[in-house]
Amino acid sequence: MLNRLALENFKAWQKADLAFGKVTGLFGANSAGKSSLLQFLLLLKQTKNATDRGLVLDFGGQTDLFEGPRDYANLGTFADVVHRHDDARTIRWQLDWTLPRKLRIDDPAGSEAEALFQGDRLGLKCAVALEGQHLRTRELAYLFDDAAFSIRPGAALGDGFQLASKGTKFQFKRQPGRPRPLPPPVKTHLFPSQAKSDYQNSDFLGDFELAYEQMMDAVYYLGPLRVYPRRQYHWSGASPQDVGPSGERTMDAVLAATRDQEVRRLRPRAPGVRKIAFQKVIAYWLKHLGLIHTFSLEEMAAGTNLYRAMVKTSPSSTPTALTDVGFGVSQVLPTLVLLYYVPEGATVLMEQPEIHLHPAVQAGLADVMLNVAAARNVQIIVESHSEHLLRRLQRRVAEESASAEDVKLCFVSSRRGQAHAADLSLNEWGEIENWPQNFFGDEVGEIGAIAEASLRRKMARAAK
Amino acid sequence: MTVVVVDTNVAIVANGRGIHADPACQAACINRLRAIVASETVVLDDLGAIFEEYRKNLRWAGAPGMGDAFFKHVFNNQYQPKRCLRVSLTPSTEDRGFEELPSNSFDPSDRKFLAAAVVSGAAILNATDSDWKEDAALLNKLSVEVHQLCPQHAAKNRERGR
Repeated sequence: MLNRLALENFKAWQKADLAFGKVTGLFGANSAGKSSLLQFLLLLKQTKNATDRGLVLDFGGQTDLFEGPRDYANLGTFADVVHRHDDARTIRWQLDWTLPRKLRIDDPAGSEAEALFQGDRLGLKCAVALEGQHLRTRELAYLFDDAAFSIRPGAALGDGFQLASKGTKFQFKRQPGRPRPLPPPVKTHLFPSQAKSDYQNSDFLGDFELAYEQMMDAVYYLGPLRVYPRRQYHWSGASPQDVGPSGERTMDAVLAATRDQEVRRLRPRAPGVRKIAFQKVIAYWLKHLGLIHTFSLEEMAAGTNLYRAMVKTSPSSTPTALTDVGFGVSQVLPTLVLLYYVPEGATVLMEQPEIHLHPAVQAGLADVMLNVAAARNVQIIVESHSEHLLRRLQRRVAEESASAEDVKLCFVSSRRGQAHAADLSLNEWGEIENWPQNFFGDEVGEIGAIAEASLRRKMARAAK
Repeated sequence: MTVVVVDTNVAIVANGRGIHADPACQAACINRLRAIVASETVVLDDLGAIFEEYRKNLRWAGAPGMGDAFFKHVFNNQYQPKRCLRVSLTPSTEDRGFEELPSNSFDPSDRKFLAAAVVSGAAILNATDSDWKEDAALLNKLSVEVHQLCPQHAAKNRERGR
């Protein structure tokens, strides 16, 4: 689970410091800078995934003519993403997360009984800047058990990089006869291989790198827009990793989970709470949200690998193809499927899942998120403009079915071209103690203006 | 910044549903609530008595009026000191409503507004409730000011002996 992201000089953010909860809501006006926070995490994910170890950050944008993994974010170049397009600036960040299980590092030189370091939280600090024409990772550090393990440039120019430790008595020891400087870090999370071969006691750095890669693998993304539903779906039998950024692999995911007889818990683990079939979980929510009565994916004829999604809008209505009902179902389906498809412990980033949905369904989405977070230990970071979604989150905290500590709300605003983030302090009563002015526009002002204008005209007419 | 205690009847009249107030009174209430929402401070109490009174009488269902919008504004901003001033009230077991009040014959539902005015020093805004005119002597003694948004109605109600 991600705990915190501190970021400098990325897009509209000169500085950002964001705390994440089990469910995190990012709110704020258009173009305030909400999406760039998610884009930054996606930039890190696609950098980690990049096959080219020579690049520092993978800004995306490679065109895939054929079906294949699409870039999560297409961000242009360093000059495009650096704050104020000032390429003399350094993009810096620190990402803190909780490990799925405790990590223990033994002292390579000491006894096995005593751990050198241990903990279940890990942080990564990184700085990236241009050197001449070249983008370089200037510094990389892993933060673990109150200590920092870094690779950074030596004191003098031409010294190359060297390993360093801070906040601990532990010191890296060179292999005898290998005084050569190290090359720079690889991507934004890897030590060069010489960092392990040239030192006697640096093997554990690989544990950090692996933990980072596992964390990034557990980050999933669903964008705001959807592909059109189709009359029929061809399924090759593959199990996709996710539903795709536009929900394009949603049906593949449902079919794969169904074939593999995957089951999910609808409620948090408790006596009497049983796991039920994947498709039934999805159908439960579609019905519970008031969208449709039943949902099923059927093979059109045995052996064709062609499937069609059928829905019934009410108990008595005839089954209809998904293409022939409104947009609500095809909008919400990828959200539901992704939240139940990802492995437990995953982090799901979502942008505006409320688009096309009726206010009542938008509120219901908050219940889906709280349920998945509690029952599946899935962390959800959602960017939204939905007051309905926010109100339902507040209500569940007020009703004590969710805890204020698990729900983090952040309001992003823009002042003179700078993005600012303010934590909304949600108290244990579900009340927001620092409601931003015009949070969801000036609704009260609109109503006041209508009331005043209509009454003024009525009075004028009556006076005639 | 102007600090005010808003009697629920102001918001009810501003809503304009099922009221006996005339359009001029409704207009006065709407305009004052708009001014309050834009730049004034509303007095609430830490017992939640005023809030509860608003909640019971104002709602967001149907087509919300200006009074309902005022309640939403209060709900959203109840912890913002610039928008809402929260005063501390002590419920009294004796027949005066709150420890902050002397013995009085005010309607129980009005006492919270009176006590909040005493503690905050803010004026009470009233639209149609005649009680605020009837016990002028006590209000004087407590140095509580009542601003009548619809003087025509407060007087009429008194004449009718309501």
